Amino acid sequence: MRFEFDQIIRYGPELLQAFWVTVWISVISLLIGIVIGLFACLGKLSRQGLSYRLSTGFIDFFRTIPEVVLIFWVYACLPLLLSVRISSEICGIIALSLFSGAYLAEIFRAGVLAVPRGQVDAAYALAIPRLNIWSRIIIPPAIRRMMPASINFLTELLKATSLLSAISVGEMAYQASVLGAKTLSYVEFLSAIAVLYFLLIFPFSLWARRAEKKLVERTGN
Amino acid sequence: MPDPSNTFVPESSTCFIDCDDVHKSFGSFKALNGVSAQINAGEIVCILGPSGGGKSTFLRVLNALESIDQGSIVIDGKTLPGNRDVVESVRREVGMVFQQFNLFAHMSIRDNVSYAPIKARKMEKSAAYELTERLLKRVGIEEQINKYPNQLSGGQQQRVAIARALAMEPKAMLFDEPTSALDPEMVRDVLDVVRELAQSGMTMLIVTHEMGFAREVSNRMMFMASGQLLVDTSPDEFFDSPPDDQLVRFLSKIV
Repeated sequence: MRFEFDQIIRYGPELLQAFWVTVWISVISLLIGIVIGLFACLGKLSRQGLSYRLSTGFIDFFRTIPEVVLIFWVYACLPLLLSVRISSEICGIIALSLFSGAYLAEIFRAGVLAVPRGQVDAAYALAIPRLNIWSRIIIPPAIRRMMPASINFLTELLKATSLLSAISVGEMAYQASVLGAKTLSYVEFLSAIAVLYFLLIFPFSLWARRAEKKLVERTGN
Repeated sequence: MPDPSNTFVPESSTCFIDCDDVHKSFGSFKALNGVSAQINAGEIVCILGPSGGGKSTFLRVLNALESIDQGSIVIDGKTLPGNRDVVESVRREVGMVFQQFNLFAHMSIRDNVSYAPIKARKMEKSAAYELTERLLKRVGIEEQINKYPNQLSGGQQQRVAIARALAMEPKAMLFDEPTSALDPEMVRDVLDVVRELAQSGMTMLIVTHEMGFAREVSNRMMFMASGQLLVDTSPDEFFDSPPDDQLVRFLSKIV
């Protein structure tokens, strides 16, 4: 066979549009996931009571079920349960936000718990108000510690958007299979999106690696 | 049980810390098992004892870093256990220095020392910075003010930690093995600072393994083991004619 590069050029605008769909769905899911993750993290850190049990249940559940099952479930079952129509993009965003929330909650929690207990004790011993302890003593080093894992998670999330092709969200993987079916140039389009995914995700991998290295230099662990 | 005749009767009478039958357990481990003691303003009390004997826990309950299960602690008229206001006002008056220094690793030395007065005492930034410079000079490391904790030696970090606690202008200081994590050549610098503080009339409780230092600086010695305050007496009696068998054995192992 011949690799028909001009097919990629011809359908370039479609591919580019699909690229942006991948990006914006990832960004929105990440932002919602951060909010969900913060609440779930705080709930789990509270170590007791209803908020603890709810958060722990949420985290355990959504970290355990396969993303594809979650995506199909939101797409097929949620509209039935709520008796509303939900577009496939919104379904995708809901599923990926839940997925992000559960994973980010654990990343955030690990970051907070990695702040040495002694420093928090010292802050309490100095009678520093609780709010200031969180904002100045716990959160800044916690963010530094959670950066590598968070960036790594972002790469996972970008990859997970390709699963939304199963519910026909027009992101890259979906667009490639649609264009492939239309033109029978599967090799060209699947190769093209592989390169696009790589170009999109690899910089984040590098960034995560650098953040990790900096953290090791700074804290020695 | 502690022999009542071993209980040291201090001369002055302004009681600053009054512990009554304090109990504290971690799970099934009894860290404090009925500790009662009165410490007067201006006293310098050194606490010795085997590890796991309750010394650190005793200091930590005095600063409400650990809650107590039973009994009560009155510090300068405020009773623990108490609500958050009580706890914070006790902490404002009682400074604490930890074995591992526990400096805020991501903050400069200046911020480490000045942050608590700014936030907990609502001090003006400029005044807090001035205070910081004065205190760092007092502990002999004013030239390190712009550095970060990991750029300092252990001894320097511990002196910053002392300055940080002093910045709250506390009435009493608790030292939890302040030199145990230090290389031997740095111990003296830290002890010099503690000694200077002792001479200034600050009320102090010092958990230490530095026998010579304890004897020199303290005007009262305590021995804790198995969560109990077994000996509470003058330094001379403590070291020259120890009134408790466990203490005798402890001293013979250490010296």
